[in-house]
Amino acid sequence: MHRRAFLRGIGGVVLALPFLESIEMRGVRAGTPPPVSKRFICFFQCNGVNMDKFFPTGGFGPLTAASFGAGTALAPLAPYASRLLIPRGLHTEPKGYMQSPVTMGCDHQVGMAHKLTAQPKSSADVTGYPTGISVDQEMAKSLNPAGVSALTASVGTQGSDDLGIISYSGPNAPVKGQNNPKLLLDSLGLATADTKTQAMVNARRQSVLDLVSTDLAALKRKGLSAADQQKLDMHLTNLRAAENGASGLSCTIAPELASATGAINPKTVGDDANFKALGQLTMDILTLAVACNRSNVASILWGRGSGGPVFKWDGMNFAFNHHAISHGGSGSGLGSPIAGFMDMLFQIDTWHATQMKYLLDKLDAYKEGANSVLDNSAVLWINELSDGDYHQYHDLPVVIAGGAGGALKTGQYVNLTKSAPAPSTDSNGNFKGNMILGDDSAGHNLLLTTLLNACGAKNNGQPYTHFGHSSLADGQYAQLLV
Amino acid sequence: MKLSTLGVLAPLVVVAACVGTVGDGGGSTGQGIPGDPGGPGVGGPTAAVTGPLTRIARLTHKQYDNTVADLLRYTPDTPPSLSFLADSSFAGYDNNADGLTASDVLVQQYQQSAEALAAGAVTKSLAKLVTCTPAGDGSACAKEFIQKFGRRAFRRPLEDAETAAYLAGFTKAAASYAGTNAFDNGVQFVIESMLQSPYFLYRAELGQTKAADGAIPLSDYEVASRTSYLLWNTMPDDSLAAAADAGQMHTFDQVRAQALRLLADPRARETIADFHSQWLQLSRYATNYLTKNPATYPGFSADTGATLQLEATQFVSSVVFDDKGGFSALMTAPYTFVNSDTAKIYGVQGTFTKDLQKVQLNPAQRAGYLTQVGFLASHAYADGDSPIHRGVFIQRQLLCNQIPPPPPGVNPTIPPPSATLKTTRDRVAAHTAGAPCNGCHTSIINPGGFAFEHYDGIGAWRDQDNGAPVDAAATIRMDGADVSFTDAVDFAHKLAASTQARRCFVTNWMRYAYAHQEATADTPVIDAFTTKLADPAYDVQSFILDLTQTRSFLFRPGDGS
Repeated sequence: MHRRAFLRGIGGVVLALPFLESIEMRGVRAGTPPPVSKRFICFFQCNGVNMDKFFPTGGFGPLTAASFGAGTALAPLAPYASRLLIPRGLHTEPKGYMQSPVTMGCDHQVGMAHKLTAQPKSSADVTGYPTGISVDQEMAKSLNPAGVSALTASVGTQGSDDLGIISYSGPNAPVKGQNNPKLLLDSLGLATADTKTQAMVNARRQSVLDLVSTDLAALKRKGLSAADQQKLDMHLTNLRAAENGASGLSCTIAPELASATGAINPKTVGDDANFKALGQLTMDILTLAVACNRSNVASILWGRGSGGPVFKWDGMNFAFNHHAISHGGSGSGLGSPIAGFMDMLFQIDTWHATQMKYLLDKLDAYKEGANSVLDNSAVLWINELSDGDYHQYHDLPVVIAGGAGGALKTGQYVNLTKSAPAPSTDSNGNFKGNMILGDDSAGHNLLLTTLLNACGAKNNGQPYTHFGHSSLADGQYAQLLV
Repeated sequence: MKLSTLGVLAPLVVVAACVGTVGDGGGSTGQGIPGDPGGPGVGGPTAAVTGPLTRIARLTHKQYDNTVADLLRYTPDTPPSLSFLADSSFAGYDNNADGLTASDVLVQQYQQSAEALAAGAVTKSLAKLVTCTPAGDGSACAKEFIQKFGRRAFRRPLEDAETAAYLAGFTKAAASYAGTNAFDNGVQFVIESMLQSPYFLYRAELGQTKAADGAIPLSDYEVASRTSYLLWNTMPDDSLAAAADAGQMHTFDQVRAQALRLLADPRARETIADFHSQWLQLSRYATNYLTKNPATYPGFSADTGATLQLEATQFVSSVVFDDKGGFSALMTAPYTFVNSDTAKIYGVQGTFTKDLQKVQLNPAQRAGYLTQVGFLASHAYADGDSPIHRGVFIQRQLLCNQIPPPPPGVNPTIPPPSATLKTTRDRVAAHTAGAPCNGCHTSIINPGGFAFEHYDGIGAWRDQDNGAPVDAAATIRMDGADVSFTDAVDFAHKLAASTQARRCFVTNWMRYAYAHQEATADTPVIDAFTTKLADPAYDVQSFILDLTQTRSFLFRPGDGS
């Protein structure tokens, strides 16, 4: 059995791996350290938050331990105060339902579909998808080896429509998140077999690839449309990537991870009961993937817009799913609010913050020279909505962690608008928090552009000046950059 | 692309008019003289030929599972697609040809699946797949195997160059596996390779010779595949393959004879269930979506949703196959299938087990799919019913009207029960009476929902709601007229008789059967089917059979490729 784990990645450093026992570089010549990769990871929460108890306590400015008091769901992230960047006042672009001439679909659909794309959907139908690529897949073009798209993972049940998808490889091209950690791990193409068997497998895969490439080339010549030829080209590229992934030397899988993923029943990966355990396993694998440079871009989607699990763990024991609780203020059908719904949301948000900390801990444990993988990453925690009950698309709860290799001005809580948070109350008199509503000065598309540039992604060799729909503003948030 | 034209209605306009009809998906039109299908077909001899933009439609995951089991002549312990990244639906259906692509993740999963399946075939079904005995260097038998297996894997005979390429691969494969039998290793290699070939993974339609009207007739092999994937969701069986080999799969009569045979087989039930599951959105019954407040509905457990999915599937199968029922029967048949849990919700007396059992329901209270617990409970809140959710479903899935989401800034709080607003209906009506809500709610959404006021949040019958008598009578805009009904049973019968509802059923079936969004050019065919379905004797099986009797089924559009 392999007791050592090996890595041949783009980043050329020895990694200290708590979960993997260890990883060492093989085939890297002394004196030629390759450049360290930047990574981008999206941590996506659904159904909005309790806006009264989410943001840092105290005012805007430097983040300190005092910013993470009992009044914020972000309290678990206090140890990372100096490595967080919390921008305030961002609104979804294109804007919510009926707030923009290009927007299609209800606020849940918009909240999911626009978030990483800044593109409107092609139709209002739940199976009409955004008209452009998402930021993770765009980022992968620069940050990943050629032909390797952004790794997409999800937790729980996603369904087959736009409410369970955040990543898009192009117009009308949804990329589902893998919700089975076993398959997610398999997709990394990490070796588990012994060397001799692996060599035989690799040789055979090369022969299969040769034969199948011939079929693909022949089919392409049968008078197909340009779009169909493109489809086959993509298939061939992907086949080559699969082959390369298999033969390429990479991190190997620690026995604990192999046994944990091996025990997964594929029929129950969507079950609520597995939500936390599989979510954490997924974060282990995402961390492995980015640390090994298998993909430097990854996302994890927790649950589903207008859905989500019934939280019954870690001290929560709710009767309704996440979406129902998010609408607790306007009642669940009887016309009466769900008693204590604001506290339930606070607990759910805190739980997500705890998972975020889990991810940051993992990333920080992988050392790259004087820094950690976390230091070289931008981890974006973003949400479908802000206030879930009112489907608010203003004042999104956003937390960024990691410095993107020193590019991000961390340790700050920054108001990107000229407005101040003001009290907001729902129609039943529930105080919903201090919010920045109706201020359209801080489109979230500019944050996506900022992150592309912070991570060093290039658009034809140049920094990005625009991301998302053509009707949206150019520019970025320079105040978030060093 | 075609998908982008789905939502052509600008939201601001929609609210004033509220209802738009799901519309034109584009597509090409052929005109004039038919090719040689031996008859006019449904919609007539000049009906336009439409189809997906792509000519290489990737197998859906369900099709992949069925196909590999048939091709390899053994059933894997778990369906391979359980290991695949799930597909998204396009235009409401997961088999939309233009939506099915092969991502890097999926290609890799195909690779791993092919490796496992080929290994399984060598141990489990080798004798069924290799029908010759290798002699000498084995190349004659190898070639025979490649041609026979390749014919089935590619759903057409192999070209000579293909046979030669795979034979070369076979010969070199001796050292590709740990096993020491060189011939078996060759077989395994060919299977592993063919399962990753685009000719297996995609249903390619490659003919290019245009008929007089510009449409392109599909080859016999391509028609055999279309027929088989429509009715069985799998590759053509031996009989269908033989018909294609004999050049007898291109006229309406030839296709009809085969389609009849396939429809009579139990495998057709799975496909019909698959369509209905997507049309009626049975995934909404899944546990994650269907949770009830245990304090309000103690009889509704975490398992109930799965039972309700099975109930709906059995009901559809029973109506379509056992009763030979039509569209009207789906809407009105007063029976269903219950187990010991759901019998209580229906209030059916008797002794039941965990297994579903057919029961007659009170015809004054229940009629067809829409009065089943599954629909009613999944379109309701955790602790109460929801006329709005039920009404929107009727509009979108039964009447094919586009209903926009509520405008922003509306107060979503339905007022609590009070002395003046006792029932759910009262409260919903009061809540939606003012502008801008009334534009969509008053005559369009709410009436279809109020019809079901006799059923509570889990679909149990009630005469009283919050101490007041239930009023389920309403008037709905349908078929261009105001249609009044007294309750859900009456409404179900009126839907069964509605041209608009029949037309919507036809439209949905065509999206599924032809794997693309309908185009304006499809109107004559949709009209023809809608008229046929008005005859109660024209059952759903006849309709499905006739879906193979259109020019769009035997031809592909000549433009755009």
